[in-house]
Parts: sequence; C-alpha cells; structure tokens
Amino acid sequence: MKLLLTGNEAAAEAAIQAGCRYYYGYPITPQNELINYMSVRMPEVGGTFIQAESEIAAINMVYGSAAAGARTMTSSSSPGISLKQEGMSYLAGSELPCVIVNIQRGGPGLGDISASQADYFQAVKGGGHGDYHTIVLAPSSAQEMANLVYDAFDLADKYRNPVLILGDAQIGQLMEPVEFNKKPKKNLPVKNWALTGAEGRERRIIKSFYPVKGQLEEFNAHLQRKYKLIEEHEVRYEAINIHEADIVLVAYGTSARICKEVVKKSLRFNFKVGMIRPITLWPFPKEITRKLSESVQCILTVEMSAGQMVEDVRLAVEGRCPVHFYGRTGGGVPTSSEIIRKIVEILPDNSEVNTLLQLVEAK
Amino acid sequence: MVELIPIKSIKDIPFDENLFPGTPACAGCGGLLALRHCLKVLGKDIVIVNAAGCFTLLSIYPFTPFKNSWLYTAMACAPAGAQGIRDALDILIKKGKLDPKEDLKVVVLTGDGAAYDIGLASTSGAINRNLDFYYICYDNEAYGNTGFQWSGATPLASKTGTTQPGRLSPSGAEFFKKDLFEIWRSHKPPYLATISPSHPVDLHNKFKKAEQYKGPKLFINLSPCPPGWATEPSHSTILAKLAVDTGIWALKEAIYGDIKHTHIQKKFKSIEEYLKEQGRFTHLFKPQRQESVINKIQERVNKYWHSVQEYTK
Repeated sequence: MKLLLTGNEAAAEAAIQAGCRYYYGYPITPQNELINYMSVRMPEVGGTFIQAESEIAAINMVYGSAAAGARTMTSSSSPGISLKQEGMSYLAGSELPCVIVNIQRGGPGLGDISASQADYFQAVKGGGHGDYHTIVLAPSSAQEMANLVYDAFDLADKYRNPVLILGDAQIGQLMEPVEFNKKPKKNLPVKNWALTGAEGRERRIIKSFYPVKGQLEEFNAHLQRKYKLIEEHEVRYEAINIHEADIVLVAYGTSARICKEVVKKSLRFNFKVGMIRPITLWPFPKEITRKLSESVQCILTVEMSAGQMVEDVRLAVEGRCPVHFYGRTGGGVPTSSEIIRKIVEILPDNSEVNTLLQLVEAK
Repeated sequence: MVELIPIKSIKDIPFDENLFPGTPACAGCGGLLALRHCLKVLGKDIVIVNAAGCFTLLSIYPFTPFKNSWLYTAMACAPAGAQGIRDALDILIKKGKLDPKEDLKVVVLTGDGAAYDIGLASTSGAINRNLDFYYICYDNEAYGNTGFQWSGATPLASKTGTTQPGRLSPSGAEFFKKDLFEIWRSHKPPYLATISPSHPVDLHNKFKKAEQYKGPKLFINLSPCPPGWATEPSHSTILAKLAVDTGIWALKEAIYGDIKHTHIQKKFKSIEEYLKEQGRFTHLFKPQRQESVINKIQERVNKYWHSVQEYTK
C-alpha cells in the first residue's frame, strides 16, 4: 500500500519499520514534520520519544541508547547538526551504531529555511573532531528516503558506525507516494558489545577515551581498517545513460532530480549526456567516476553549494578530463535550462550553440 | 537611590513608539504587544540581542520595525552575545571613543524555547557574572516559530505539535511548566519580574524600577499566541488578563531574590475560564471532560497562592 508522505515523515516511518524504538528530537525547520510524526507514532509502537532540551542533549541521548544496543535515531537541520558534531564524534569513536538525519537548509549562520546542499563537507569529511567517518546516504525522493533510512540501520549495525542521511528541505518537505516494503536483513552481527547488564557474563566496555600512550593510535588504525572495508563494499550510485556519453553530470539529492530532467531533454541533442548520482556520498563512488573520466569529454558537477562534492569528483578523476562545476547557493535551486546553458558553455565542440539554446527555451 | 514615582494609569504611558507596526509577526501576538510597551520604557538607545525564534523574523534586512540596533545569535547563547556587546561598549567608553552619555543598553530578547531549554546555561553564566543587561523572554509556552512544538514552558495538558492528545496520552503535554522565575531567582539577580501585555502599567513600572539596578534585569512575559493557542487574535489581551485573573500567571518581582507580588487578586476566577478560551485545551472538555486533569491544574494554582504570604495574610 502506498502512502502519501513528506520525505520527513517517510524517514520517520521507515525508522519505525526498521525497528527503531528510540528517537530524540528538537524542533528546527525544515525537519519539523519528522519530529511531529515521531511524537505520535513512537508511543503507538511502544517506543520512546523524547523532545530534548537541545540538539546536544538529543545526540547524547542517542549515545546512551546506542550503547545499550538499541536502534536509535535523531534528526535536525544544518545549524542543529553543527551542534551535534561533538556527540557524533563520540559515537564514531565509541563505534556505536545510530542514524542521524540532516535535512539541510541554507547557510552559513542562521541562513534560511530553503533547500541547500552546503553541508556536504561537514557530512563526508567527518564534521566533528578526530579522524572518523560517518556513512553518508543521500536520498533524492521520498521513497528513497524511506529505503535509505531503513538500510541505514542495517549499515550502522553491520559496521558499528553512525550513518548520516543527508537530505535537504525539498526532499524533506515534498510529498510523494511511499511504499514500505523492506524486509529485515538477515546475518547482521550479534550486538555482543552492548551494555545490557553484566550479570553472569564478562563485563563489556564502550569508550572513546584512550589515555595510555599508543592505545589511541592502535584504535585509530582499527577504525581506518573498518573505513577501508566500508569503502570497498558499500559504494552505491545510480548511473543513467553513461554508455558512450560525451558529457557526464554528477549530482545528488535535489540537484540530481533536476539533472535527470537535463538528461531527458538532451535526448534531442546531437551529443550524449549521461549522469552519475552518488547515493553514498561517503564512501564516494570513486571507481565509476575514474572510469568515466577516461571515456567522456568532460564532467559537470551540479550542486546547491559553492562547490563541495566537486572536490571529490576531481580527486577521483585525477586530471584525466576537465571537471566543471555549476552551483547555486543560499537556497537557490538550479534549473534544467541553467544547466544546459552551462553544458553549452563548456562543451569543447559548441558549433550548434544556437540550436541548443533554442531547444532550452522551447517549453 | 532616587525615589521612583510609579505611574498609575494607562494614560501616563508615553505616546512615543520605538517599535513600528507592520512586522511579520502573527496577528494578535502577545509577545509583540508586550515588547512594544517594554521599548517605550527602554527607549531607542539599546542593542537587542535576539536568539533564534519567532522574533528573529521581526528584522529582515533591509526592513526593521526597530529604531535600535539588533543582532541575532544562535539559539543557545543570546546572553553570551550580550556579554560580547557589553564588553565592546565598555572598551569604547574606556578608550574615550564613546561618550558614556551615548552608552547603549544591551537587551536580550528570546522566546521560551531558548530561555527555558537550550539557552538556560548561557543565561545562568551571564547572571552569575553580573552582566549589566536586560533579558525579555516572550513566553508563548512552545516553540512557535517551528510550528508550536512542546517546550520546557509548555503547561500541563497543552496540545502542541509534539504533544498531540490521543488514546495513549489523552491529556496532551504530560508535565507542568518549568518555573523559570525560580530558576533565575536562585541566582539572586538585582531585578527579576513577570509581566503581561494585559497589565501595561505594571509592566511600565517594573522596567522603570529595573533601570536603577546595574546587573541582570530579567523579565518573563506570558505571550498569548493565536496560531499556537488556537485563539482569536483579537482576544490576546483578554486572554492575558484572564491568565492573571485566574492566578495561573502571577505578576511579581524579585529584587536580589526577595519576592513581592505586584498584583493580588481578592478572588480568583476558575481556571476553567482560561482553559476553555483556548483551542489547545479543547480535548480537556470534548469529547469527554477530563475532570482530574482540570482539577490538577486548579490545585496547582491554589497551592501556589496559598504559599504566597501577601495573599494569605
């Protein structure tokens, strides 16, 4: 059965279906539908809903319930996620699974409440202090929001690592039909580390504090081995028309939806436009990006930021082909016409500029 | 200290306005009405430090309803922002770059979400350091700007975005409101008061009195919120008065921690009159009357007033 839900509500319902019974929130636009939905739904399934006194409190409540082995989640939007960073670092450092949803809004500072993708760096490069990574998943529809939140709990448990869902105001607030048809994953590791009371068994310790010289370095090496494993096994992306493409667009989330329209419109052109939509932003789909860079004329990264993911694209391409960027900031959303104009501008052979531009203007 | 002559009538309130109309605030905003009166006393030589909340939207560059300067901070730390501004002004005065006569008052303006929850630590620090500033909390008893979710100021049984009355929690909000007045009073600041938009004379006199003290001067205003409380915008003042008349909102002040009630009702109205006026309490009366919850609220009010010396003697 399909339900008409906002992306925010889809995330909340998917978490419940994935067995999340502990949710801690704090109001901030544009993620309020999520906390409101949880406040009603969580008690219905016998779970715990707490509206914390701050974002810092909320992430540390997650820290507590994650340590006890529960499936647990918090959500916020950009400024609130900034406040959660210390807690996220503790969670990563203690190897605790949990899910954090960031419905990005415009920044920096108080910014505004419209859609933005300016938290990419914060999300994929760690965000908080220390050498750590969260797995970052980027949905581009309400349905995918539901699917990814569901998978996020499995990934978190599999690797004992926080998973961040990086949405934006549009993905969070648009309403689309959503179906919940995911099945519980088998073969997930038993939580033989959870603090559940030590009576009759060896005590367990969860910590991120290693004051004895050398221990912390050893622990960091372990973390890096784990991250390498994730990079090898968990990369996800969607590839559209990349076979024999002349130019490939790279975009995620809301900008990917617009790029899809560009790819559709480009079928009338005499050159081929393909597209890569990273679903995991960390680990980034490096391999496919590198491969494509050997066959295409150039790559165009489209983001709702001043150019953040483009750095990862360039790192993967390593100079094999030109990497261009088109972005809008501060709540601005690129249009398909703008992107096509940019393509015309960067395409090495642009003898047909006028025909192309006419196509753009034609509705 | 100069002997203060309190004003007696609404006619004595100055005509000059320091808050212009045409703000983006909701119609009938009780917080805005009180702020207008506060600014009449504070004047225009002030800097407002606004934590994220409803009133962040008052000043959207290049438009502002204020005559004064204005700064917004992250939600948790408006009093910390006030510290920075106070320091900067003090340094300018010390260096002779600012005439002490042109000094500005620093006024923190936050909603109850910031005051009761996330910004409490910052306020505690500022009071403890005896920072010379004003603090006005417009308390509409929920996070209004994000769609009216529960806050530490939400009273028992209020319906909010995150305390929907239903089968599992028929009463809505399950806790009593935090007593911010007492939390702040435990720091023994020079001046602390509750105010109401329905009692502008009382409000005026309290600000005049506060003026004499150096250090933290804090005010909590009960702010009827038509969209959140589900009330008629034109009823905001009536509702604010009803809160005082039923005793649920006590008008009081505390000087260095010593409390005095500034408005003592001879006979309080029943709390039901206040609750019935508001959509956020409808579930207490329909479809079934929740007698025990209504009694619980009434008892709490009774208990409070029985502990008040001026009332019992």
